[in-house]
Amino acid sequence: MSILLDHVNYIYGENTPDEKQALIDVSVEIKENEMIALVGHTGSGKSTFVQLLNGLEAPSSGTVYYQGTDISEPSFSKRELRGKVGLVFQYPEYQLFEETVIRDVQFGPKNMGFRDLDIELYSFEALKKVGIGDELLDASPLSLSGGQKRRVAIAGVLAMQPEFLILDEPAAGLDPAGKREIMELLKSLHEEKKITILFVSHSMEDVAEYAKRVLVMNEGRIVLDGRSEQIFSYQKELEQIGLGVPQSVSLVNSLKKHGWDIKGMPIKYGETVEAIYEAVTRRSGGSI
Amino acid sequence: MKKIVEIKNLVHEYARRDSEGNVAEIVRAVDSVNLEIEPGAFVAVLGANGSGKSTLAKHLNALLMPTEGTVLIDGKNTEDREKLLDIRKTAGMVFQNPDNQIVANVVEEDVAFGPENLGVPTEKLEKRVHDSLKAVDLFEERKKSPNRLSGGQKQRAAIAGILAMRSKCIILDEATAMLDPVGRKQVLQAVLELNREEHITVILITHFMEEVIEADQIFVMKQGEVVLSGTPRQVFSRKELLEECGLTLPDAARIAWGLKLKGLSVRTDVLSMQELEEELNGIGVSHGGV
Repeated sequence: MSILLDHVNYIYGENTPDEKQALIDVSVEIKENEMIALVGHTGSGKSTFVQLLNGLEAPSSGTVYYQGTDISEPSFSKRELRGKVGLVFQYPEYQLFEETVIRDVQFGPKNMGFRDLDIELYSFEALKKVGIGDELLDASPLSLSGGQKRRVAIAGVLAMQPEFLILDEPAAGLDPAGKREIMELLKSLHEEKKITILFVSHSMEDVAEYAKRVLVMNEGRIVLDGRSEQIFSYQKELEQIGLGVPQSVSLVNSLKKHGWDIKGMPIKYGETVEAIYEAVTRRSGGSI
Repeated sequence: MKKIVEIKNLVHEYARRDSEGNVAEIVRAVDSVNLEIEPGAFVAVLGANGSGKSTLAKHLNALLMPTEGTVLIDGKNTEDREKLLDIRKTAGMVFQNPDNQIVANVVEEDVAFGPENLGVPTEKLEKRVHDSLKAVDLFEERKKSPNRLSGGQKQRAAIAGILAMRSKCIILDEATAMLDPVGRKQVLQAVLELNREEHITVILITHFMEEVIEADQIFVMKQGEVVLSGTPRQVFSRKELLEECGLTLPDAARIAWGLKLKGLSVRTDVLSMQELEEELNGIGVSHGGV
């Protein structure tokens, strides 16, 4: 099960003075059960990329395959694709519009043409997954907190039973507690429900903590694609394209440069604490 | 010296309405806040979503009026209708969404909009716009359409517009939240330079702990109240209280805490990775060669 982009180009405003190539020869495969972060500065092509994944945009040239089928084929159901590849936009809470939480969440599965019983079941399940309790089902979405609204918006996409969940900056604008909540939610959806997740993020700390694979975009191209540990070993290259590495990785790199014997390439918080602790212990001959 | 901001017992309440428009409850968004800010200070306000930070900020240039209490900006009461223009000129605000704050089709016209409305004569206006664009490093972009700017550039254009009004105080209401790391750095650098070189008061409202470690003073809000204030080192020594407020420590301090909990005797009030590295080197040396 996969989404495959094969030599995809995307040009905005073709044959106008504003013509701009947003994607240049992008080939990449997103496989089953992955947890991927997509990083790149504003204008690097991330948003165009995610909109190609569920057919909201069509490539200027090249092909997008879903489960081996070219999605531009007339017989291919775009509606079904949008259910299978759920896309959560930036600040999705601005798109809540129904009078109650439950009706907002039911909107997606209703549109997919699911049976009434399924619509109800999927909506309740989705709200449970994102941690919205029964007492809020009939509340107005507008009365919820920012973090709650965002979780309702995600539930609306989950209720369509997607196999891939694509999120454009899911933690933007949230406070540290809200941010952790959303990222932990994605982690549990990935680990427990086996949903493939691709999230766009500007926070290298979140990327290090939560992603297994990282795609780095710059000027319309995917310039790096690999496991998180590999990607963050390219500190200089990432800084050159305005991204950088998590602060903790800078610290570890600097300690190593100054003669500290730190094992491996810790990128997560827990790993970093452990690796530094061991290095301090070794350095002082175990006599702390 | 006269304070640039003086807030006494500020309370702000608003009515939350249900779908039929009836008042469902009264929300106290700001609750008995007292605070003073010295001219030329760099002050940060931290707090979770919904803690009242933005409501507080909107009182600083009279976008909102107190339910109770008073707000004085450079000695002027925000409820004095005759001083309104003066207050808005003194305290300029940059909002979160870069796309909602643009009024003109050309960058330099956008920057000129504020001072022009204040009646600044043309010859002075040109110089002000020129200087302001230079100050935020946007001079090369002055003839462009604002649509062509990046998010960080748009926010800097908004800052230039405030500078061109000769404001004494800039309030950034989560103005970096929607920017990428480069844009965020550019905006912060621009306001920090203005603070250091032009002594413009900066009030930074944010969720990013790393942005506030150079502040002179931090105010932490929770449920409408200021529950903690002090220097960054004082504020970030209150780990538990910050976590109750939905906030966290800067990454360097989080790592230091992790090491301390494993039994290392390290300082936990480090604010930057550089400080933490120095601290770690100190431990290495004192035990080295045993």
